[in-house]
Amino acid sequence: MVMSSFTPLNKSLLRTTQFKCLRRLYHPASNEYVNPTTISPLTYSMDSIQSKILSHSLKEYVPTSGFNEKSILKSINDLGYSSSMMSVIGASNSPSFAHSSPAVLELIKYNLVSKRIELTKDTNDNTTTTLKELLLKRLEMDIPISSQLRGLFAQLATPGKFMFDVSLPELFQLADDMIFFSNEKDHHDMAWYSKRLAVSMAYVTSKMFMIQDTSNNFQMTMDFASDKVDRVMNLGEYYNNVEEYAWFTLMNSINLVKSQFSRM
Amino acid sequence: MLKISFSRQLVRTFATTADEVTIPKLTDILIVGGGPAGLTLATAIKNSSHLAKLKTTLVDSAKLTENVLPFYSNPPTEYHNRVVSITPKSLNFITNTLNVKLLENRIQPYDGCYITDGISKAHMSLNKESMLYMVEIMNIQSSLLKHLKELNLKEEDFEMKENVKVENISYSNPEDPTSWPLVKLSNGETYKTRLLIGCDGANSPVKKFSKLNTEGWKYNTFGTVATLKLNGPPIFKINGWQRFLKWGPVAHLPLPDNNASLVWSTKGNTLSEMFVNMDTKVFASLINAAFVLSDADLEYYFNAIKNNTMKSDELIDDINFRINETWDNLKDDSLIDEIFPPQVVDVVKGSVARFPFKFSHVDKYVTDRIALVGDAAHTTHPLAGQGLNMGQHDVEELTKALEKATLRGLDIGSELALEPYWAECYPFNNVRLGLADKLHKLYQTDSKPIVAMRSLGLTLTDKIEPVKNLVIDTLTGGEEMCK
Amino acid sequence: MLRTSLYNQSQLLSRPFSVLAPLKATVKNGNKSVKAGKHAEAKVPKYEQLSEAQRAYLDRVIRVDQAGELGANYIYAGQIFVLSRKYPHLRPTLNHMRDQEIHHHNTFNALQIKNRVRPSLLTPFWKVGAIAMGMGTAMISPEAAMACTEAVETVIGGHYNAQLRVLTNQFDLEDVSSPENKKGTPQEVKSLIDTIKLFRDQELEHLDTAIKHDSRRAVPYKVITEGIKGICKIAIWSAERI
Repeated sequence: MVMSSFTPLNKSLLRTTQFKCLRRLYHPASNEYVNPTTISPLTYSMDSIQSKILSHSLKEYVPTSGFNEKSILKSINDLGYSSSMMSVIGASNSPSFAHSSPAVLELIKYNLVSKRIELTKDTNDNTTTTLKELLLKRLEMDIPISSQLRGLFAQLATPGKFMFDVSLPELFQLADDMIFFSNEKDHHDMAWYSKRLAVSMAYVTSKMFMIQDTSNNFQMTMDFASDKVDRVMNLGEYYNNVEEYAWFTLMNSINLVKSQFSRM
Repeated sequence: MLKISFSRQLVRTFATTADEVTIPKLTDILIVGGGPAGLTLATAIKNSSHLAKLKTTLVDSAKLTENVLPFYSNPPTEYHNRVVSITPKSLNFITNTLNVKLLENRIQPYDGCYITDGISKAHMSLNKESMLYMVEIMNIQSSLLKHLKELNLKEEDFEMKENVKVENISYSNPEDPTSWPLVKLSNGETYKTRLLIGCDGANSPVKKFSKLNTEGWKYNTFGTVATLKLNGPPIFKINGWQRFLKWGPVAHLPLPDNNASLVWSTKGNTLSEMFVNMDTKVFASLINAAFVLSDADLEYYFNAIKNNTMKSDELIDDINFRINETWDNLKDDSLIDEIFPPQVVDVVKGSVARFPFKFSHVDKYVTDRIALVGDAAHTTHPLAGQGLNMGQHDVEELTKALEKATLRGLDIGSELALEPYWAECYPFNNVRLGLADKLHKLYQTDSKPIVAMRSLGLTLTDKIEPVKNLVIDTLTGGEEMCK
Repeated sequence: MLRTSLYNQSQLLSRPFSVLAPLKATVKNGNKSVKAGKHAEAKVPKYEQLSEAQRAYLDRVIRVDQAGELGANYIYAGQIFVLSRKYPHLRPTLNHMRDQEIHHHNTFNALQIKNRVRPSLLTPFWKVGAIAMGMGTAMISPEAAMACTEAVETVIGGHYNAQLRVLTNQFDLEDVSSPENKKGTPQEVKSLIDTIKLFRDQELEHLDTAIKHDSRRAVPYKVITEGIKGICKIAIWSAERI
């Protein structure tokens, strides 16, 4: 009747949690394995044709024309591939009513994943990078595409399969990476969740601020974000003190009662 | 046949014991720690007609006779930096109940406390004749040591083990936590004791062994202490001064003549470190500034020192100028002496030291064979000046509990005998620890609504006599205070 | 007594009953330093990647074991809270078992952070439930508390054994660096197996201790043990998933 432990190792293990947000995989922490060829959730490697086309289009065309098929097409033409690559690129996404096209969704996904990987690429052991530094760095990465952020946001936040399968898990993964690769302490309980949630919120609100920011070099966004992170941390500390105090008072009352009972 | 094998068995048992460990010395009470709490407890036990017969052993890692005792016969001219405020009740316990003669000329009674909020200027003035006494810890320790030496106790009654550390504590029967503890000392001796008392401070090894659980937290605050030189003895009346700055409270407490003692608590590590390494003249001016100028001014000076943008002389002149400016703005010159402490002209070299504050309270002070006393059982923020007094109260109550147990024929090491001590002291200490903790929390912030609220509270307390008396009573030892 | 040495002494001042433990700090594991293999070392065999199913399984193993050890720790805490004053002779036994559970819990805590595993979302319930179970059985009688230990450790022993079966049988990976792609188990998995083996043995020791302390004399023995076994199995099932 110890049901779970007899669960054979098969695909059923991956189906148990419907929400991809909650599904996690063990991260091997040793160097005994060959490097992965693909970077999950992308299904191709960083030196594949798809990757080349998408990164080229991100660099050259997205800043001006936005996240759309035109940007990809131009990039395909630049690199001299056949235009049928468009359907190859979009292969892993199902067409959706609300979104542009599977290939564009892939471009958006690629944008998120590659920047997330880029963000923590250089962090090393015993890192002294702070959470705030990582968050600001990630915001800076989006400065080139700042004029397209509004469109990007609309696509990411359209309720539907893409949002639950890509936007939210990516956001969560980003928060997780920022916490893991910074010098932030990590937790074993609910704080693990609340911290990730708080960091995600700080990131999303900063991004929204960035859409409207017209200041030089997005200085206002950076100030807003660092203020936001500080505030999240402070809030955590306040909450923490309250919790600490509540626990203390509980134990204190028990002790008071016990001490007076011992007189009898 | 049976008899022979039995005695053989017996002999063998003895032999192995002797081989493996030195035979432990027996004692009724073993006190770990020769601080004020430990020494007072030893004196109280020897002073009690019911307990004096119990063999008592006191262990301390310092060389008490060599380093502490001479303070009594040959006190240094400068005051020591470890000064505590002691309530009339605690003082009465030491001098009258225990009959110990403190160095009276080094004790400073004071008649009031003037407390101000650094942000809102709200203030409260507590007044009562000789409400508290400032006394050096060395004074208390050396007087108690002197007293103990003069009692000329025989070794089978009282033994003091100096310059030895407790290496290991275990139960004589590891299976049975009600068995007598074995205490192994660094000089190779082992004691087997009926009752083990931890007076060994916040990081108490006895507490660790007892497995009694502690609640509490670190304050992330350092206290800087120093002995101050004033421009002259206070003119009107002798007051203690405390001001709540944004970094934490700063207190200026009187010592005889033109001496005073400083406790300045600051949040975080950096400020206190800066104070310790600072030129004493500059530090003296900063202390003056801390009681007169605003938080913003102080912050400016702190930054100037940190970034080295002002020379020492410039800084001192600037502070003096600003202080004079504030004084000139007062309606009446006589107010200067009423609301500001006397001016500090210098800080005694080498007297500046810092230590971290921690809030902790042990769930239960006693378990079978073990009792915790003083800092081992509770530590607090010193802003209410209650640390030592709680320890003295602990000693008083533990002695009472032990006396009662002896009268009833109880084993003094049993939990049953010790519990009344816990029952008596836990609520008493809880109130004082809670008070200091709440004040600390209240004054730690510069959020506007909280400052407004606390200022109102302070002003109201100052205006409403019964409330004020209650505060004075709590701080000075309560109504049961004896003459 | 409740929280006696919940973590080790130096962390006495940290609080375990955390809904949102400090954003600033909890147990410092010093394990962040071991971040996903960056430095290639010579002579280390290179295995193929773990499959998604294998990674999902390891993820579950660590989450459920972390939650389980947390539960065990709190069950003993509840028992100690109730029993230590009335039955001082049980104190050393209970404290010893509790200390071992704390060590187990800390070990899995470290693994959870090192391998970026999500802790169980139901952690607060495990805490409350475990304390209640410990205190509840201890209030019936010391024998009932021991029967509780017996039931819990029986289930946990079986659970660890099942995990060991899967870990030893299904984690043979191809060593790409070896000439003929020999199969082998990565050191990381091996050390997890060793850890679980050791912990299983200690849990079974606790089981023996419980029986030695008259767990079988608990009244009503059947109800207590069977009930607790059922609860434990449900808890294991949910902690793996949620």
